[in-house]
Amino acid sequence: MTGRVAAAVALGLMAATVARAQTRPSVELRGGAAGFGKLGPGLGLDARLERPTWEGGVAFGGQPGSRWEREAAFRFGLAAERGPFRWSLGALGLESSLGGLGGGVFGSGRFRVGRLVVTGEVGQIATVSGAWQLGSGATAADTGRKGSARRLGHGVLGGQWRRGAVELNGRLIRRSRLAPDDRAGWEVGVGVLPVSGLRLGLSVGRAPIGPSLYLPFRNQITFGLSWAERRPRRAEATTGGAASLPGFDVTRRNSGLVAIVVRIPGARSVELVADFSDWRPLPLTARGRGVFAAEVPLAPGVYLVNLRVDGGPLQVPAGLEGVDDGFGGRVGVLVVR
Amino acid sequence: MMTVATAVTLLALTGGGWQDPEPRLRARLDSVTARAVEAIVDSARIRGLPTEPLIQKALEGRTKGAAGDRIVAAVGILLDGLGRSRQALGSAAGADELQAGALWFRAGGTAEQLGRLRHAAPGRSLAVPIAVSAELLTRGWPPDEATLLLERLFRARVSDAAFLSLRIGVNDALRGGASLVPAVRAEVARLAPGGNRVP
Repeated sequence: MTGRVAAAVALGLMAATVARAQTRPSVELRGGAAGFGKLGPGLGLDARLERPTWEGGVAFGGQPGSRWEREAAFRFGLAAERGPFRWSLGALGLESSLGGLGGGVFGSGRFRVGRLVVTGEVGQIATVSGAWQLGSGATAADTGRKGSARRLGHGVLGGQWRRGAVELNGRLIRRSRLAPDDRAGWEVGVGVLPVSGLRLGLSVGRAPIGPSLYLPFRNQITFGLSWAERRPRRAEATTGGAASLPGFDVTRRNSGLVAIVVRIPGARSVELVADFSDWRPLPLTARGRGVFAAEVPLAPGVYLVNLRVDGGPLQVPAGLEGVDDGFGGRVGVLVVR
Repeated sequence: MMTVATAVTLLALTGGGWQDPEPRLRARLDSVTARAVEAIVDSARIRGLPTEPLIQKALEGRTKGAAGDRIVAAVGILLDGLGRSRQALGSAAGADELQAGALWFRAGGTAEQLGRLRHAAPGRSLAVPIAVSAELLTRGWPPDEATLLLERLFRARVSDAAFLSLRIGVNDALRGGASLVPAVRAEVARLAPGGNRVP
């Protein structure tokens, strides 16, 4: 199987699950179909729910037909968000596989005993992530590995860069305690985000062929489609940030700059007009999926802010009720700590 | 307002008196409006009040397409609010506190209420609590109740971060269909349990 190039059509199931932007999805659904050369086409669906303090998900993969494989992976973990980083520690994971991978038939059940993922932002448009997980379980197969139990280490280091509606990403994968051909992998990809929540991606590389820790690596080309509903994080107000409101997040970075993130699905352009910009329009950078962001040097204090969307009238940012501006309109009151 | 008008008139009649014309005003406003605003700014400087909020108010009016006389009026009202804030909050109050106090007045609060808040928390900056509360006053939180509950929160030594979380909690409750006053009371009870009963 080594070196075999396989074409795959997958909806993100095998795509890079690397860094995500600061505006993380609370619910993300992925699904698709893939082909692996002689292994035939595959189908997959991956769903995950991510909250500020925990996350969970389920992934299914399978190959219809006589030489089929089915597998499922469940995961749950605790998470914490501090500044630009999100830490998640998986406390429970369960995988099961049954199928005909590579001509043999096997069934297995495994537990993931630990999974640590760290995701952080670099500037406004790039993110990096690292993950390490351990798995342990038993495999029963007709290929001589009956009842085997193995502990497996699985590490991923990934990065993502995004400008506007275009995204580039990549990841390096390392596994221990597997055959040499299945110890190292990589993947690079490009994605476009034509409308809010929707992502189309293409990636190439050598990567595991499914969500299970134990599945082998293959050279593959993957087409992906995913949809995510993104909701704002709102932990900043009590964790040393500035203010976090639906659709309008303000977070103080370690650099001292204040990151302002606005979510307006469907918007083409968003400008801040505020007293900290001398009431001149400050264009926000589009980050796709209706997310616009900027980093500005703001000292702790009280600021007055309006937004302009797609060149329209000035409005009060979502979540800021606003006060009378003295000119017949309203202006939002932003408190930065 | 009378004080502001008098200062503007005097400064205009004497041909100015301000030392450093603000280039942002000259660049963005017409000359008549710029001179009038500069006079108000100079008056604030003489009284030891922050001038940047006044300049920003003028620039805000320009960006929002307001007429010159309306810009001058808005800047004058803000100067009045800053002056009343300092009277109520004391001479040690910072620029942010004074600006928040001006928002408090604009939202319907009184100087007497602001003075009570200062008395309840003599050592802390009131910028965040007052700014958050001014926004809630705008939504319809009665100033009298706001003053009472803010005093309660100050006694409980609630942090600025908690005041921000109060606003978020209220927003969440409102989105869930709650009314403003019960939502604020619930948040206050969460932050300062066991306090005085709300009238």
